[in-house]
Amino acid sequence: MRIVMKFGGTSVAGAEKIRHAAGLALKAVAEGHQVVVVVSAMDGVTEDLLDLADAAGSGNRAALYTVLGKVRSAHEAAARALGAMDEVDPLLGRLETLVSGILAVGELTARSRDAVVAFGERLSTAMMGVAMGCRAMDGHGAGIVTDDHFGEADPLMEISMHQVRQNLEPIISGGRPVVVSGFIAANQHGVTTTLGRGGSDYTATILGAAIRADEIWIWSDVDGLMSADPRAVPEARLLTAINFAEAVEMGKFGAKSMHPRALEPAAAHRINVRMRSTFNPDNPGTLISDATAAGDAAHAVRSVPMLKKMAMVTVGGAGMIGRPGTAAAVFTALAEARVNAHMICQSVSEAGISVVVSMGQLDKARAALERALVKVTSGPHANVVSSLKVQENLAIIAAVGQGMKGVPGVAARVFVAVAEAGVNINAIAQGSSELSIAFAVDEAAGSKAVAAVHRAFGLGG
Amino acid sequence: MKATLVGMGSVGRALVTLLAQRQRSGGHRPGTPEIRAVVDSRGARLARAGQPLDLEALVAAKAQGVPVHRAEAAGGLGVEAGGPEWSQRLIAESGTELLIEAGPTDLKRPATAMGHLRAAMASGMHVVCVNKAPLATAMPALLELAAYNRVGLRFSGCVGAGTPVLAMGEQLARGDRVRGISAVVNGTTNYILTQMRDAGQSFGEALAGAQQLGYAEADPSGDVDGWDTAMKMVILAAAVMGVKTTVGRSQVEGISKVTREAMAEAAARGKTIKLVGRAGEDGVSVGPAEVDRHGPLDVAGSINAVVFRCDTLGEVTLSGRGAGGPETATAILRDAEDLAKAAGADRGGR
Repeated sequence: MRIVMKFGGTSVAGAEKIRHAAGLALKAVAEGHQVVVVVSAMDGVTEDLLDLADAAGSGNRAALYTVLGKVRSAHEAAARALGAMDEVDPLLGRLETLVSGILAVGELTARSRDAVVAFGERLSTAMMGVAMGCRAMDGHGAGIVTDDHFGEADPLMEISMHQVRQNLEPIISGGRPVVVSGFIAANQHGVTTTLGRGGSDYTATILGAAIRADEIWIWSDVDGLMSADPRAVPEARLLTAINFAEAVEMGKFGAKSMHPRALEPAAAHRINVRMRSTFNPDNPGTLISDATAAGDAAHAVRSVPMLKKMAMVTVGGAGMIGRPGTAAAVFTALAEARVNAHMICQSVSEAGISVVVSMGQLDKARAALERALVKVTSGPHANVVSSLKVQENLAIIAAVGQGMKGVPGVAARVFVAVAEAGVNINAIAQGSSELSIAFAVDEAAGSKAVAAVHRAFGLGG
Repeated sequence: MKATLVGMGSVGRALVTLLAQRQRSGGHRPGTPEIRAVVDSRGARLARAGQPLDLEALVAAKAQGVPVHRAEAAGGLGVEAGGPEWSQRLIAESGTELLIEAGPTDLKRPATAMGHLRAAMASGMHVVCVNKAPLATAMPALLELAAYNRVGLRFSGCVGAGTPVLAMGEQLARGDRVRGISAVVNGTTNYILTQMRDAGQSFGEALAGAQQLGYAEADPSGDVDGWDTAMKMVILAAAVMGVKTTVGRSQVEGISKVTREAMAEAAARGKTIKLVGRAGEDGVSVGPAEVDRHGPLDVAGSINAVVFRCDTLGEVTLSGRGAGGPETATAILRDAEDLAKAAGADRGGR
């Protein structure tokens, strides 16, 4: 079998864990599999490097040397234990030179920030290469080419896939494993970029699609995807198999799934993804595949993820009725303020539109909507919206399952269960894909509602 | 348009000769490329600012086996090859607007030409390519790069040499839909098969004869094993039908198993055996096949025949000479003129 394995930050945090991860990969090699390993930066290092870049850009020497020292000692400790100092020391030296340069110039660009952040993966990749005794390269070396959008670069998919095939195929066809750094790539001119959302998982699925892997294994510190957050529902179970559409939907609602962007290459090329835990490697984890379960009433709901720390902003006014363009104005205002709307509801009367946003973005959302719609005295939106209401401390709960498609009564079962648990629902939304039903409740009652839905669909077994 | 020419084989030399003739006769046409840099496998020659290269001197030097960087009589500056990817760097820094890639088609090592195309497009240069290898192995990737960098990528000389096979296919695809393409597009195999039929030779005899006459190369595998035909069909399929495929994904069989007996049997039934390339919505296949004697695909020697099967128009056939340096050079000039026209339109010109 041809396998791409990605190890997350917690799976490579320190020499012991790197050794363990390397052992898992080498075991697969010994079993005759062709293996490409993708690694994230050590847990917490990406955040440290972002701080480091900011410190350098703002001229904060004290913070710079403190963070640099922290990054250096964490990697030196691990590298010494692994015998990887020859690889790690020059990288740390280059990192120091780079941030000194930024400090001297006194300006941090998106481009130089990417260059700094990329060291997290470069360092962990070098150590994993030593631990596995095989070749290690960065995403650019593997062939991933992106546009010039530093910090959130989009791969040029066809050329990337072509080059990855050219570069990796000869290595793995010869039965040799190879380590590739996740998250980082380069533009056409070879300047380092980072992939942003989806990060190292995205690297793994791009590589998997390019070399037509049989499976992509995402190793992390959890066994896989759960039917609900076990902190809310103790009887929550591991999901052994779901399909891509369900995984994307769960990801949107905050389950410890992969970012939808990262699932895309795997879904497009029908490559199975397996999420599993390095701490429990005998467990096969959750298989995400192409299998469909539409109309399967027994599995109408597979999982009940919850997003906490939400707030709902409702704009209302009789002036909105029959008036085109108000919804567009709401979403434009939010988009311009870079506010992410998690859930949107509109009353049939058109007299109100509710948008659920994270608490962290509430102030930005409220300000943007007031500016665009409430405090306007001229133009097409004058005197249309008369009220702006905010409800804080909400949770969005979703019932997710492709089996609900075309099966009547699923929504009723969800809401009866929540009502019987004595929880009031603030807003409801269902996507036209019929993969999920989402609703907002007071955060304090969130766990109770999740447990009720979980029980109603027999997810605890 | 200022251009960099890569490759001084028969096509590159024919192109330079054509351009020199135009230069001398003063018959300058708008859109004719102005060669400011020439690259061969051993080095490059770059024009100095304000001074053109002496193209005739360049061809004369090459005819004597002198590499371009040593062809001092052509004027300009000679640069010897050095370091990995030297030619890519040279292209990127050439300051020209067009790359003409006419290097040798090497299906086993398409990376060199691929690197040239990448470097050119990343630097915002348009590309005319008559090297089939990068196109046939990475067509989707090259189209993506051209679109992303907003540059033109033309390759009409790859199929049918000067005969405008791609242009006709693209025309047909507008308004109608091209469902399939069958074609005889390799002169070497066509010569061998004709000898087997008309002179009663075996495959081995006919191949040896073709090699003596210079119709087949010392290593004939690219032609007789069907790879040249496969490359052309992959390029046709992409350009005319929008089918994303590569040579690696194609079914390819050569003519080495065709026997005199099979040829005679086919003839008895009013048929003849040709190496036929087929492109359909599901990809490309190449192999020996029986076609009607005197039918559209029964062409001789270096003549190519391409049959487009369209929804409304039915079968449309184009045939014409499908090989040769000057013929392919004509296709390059055609592509370059197209690109210059498109670039002019972009700038709001005529």
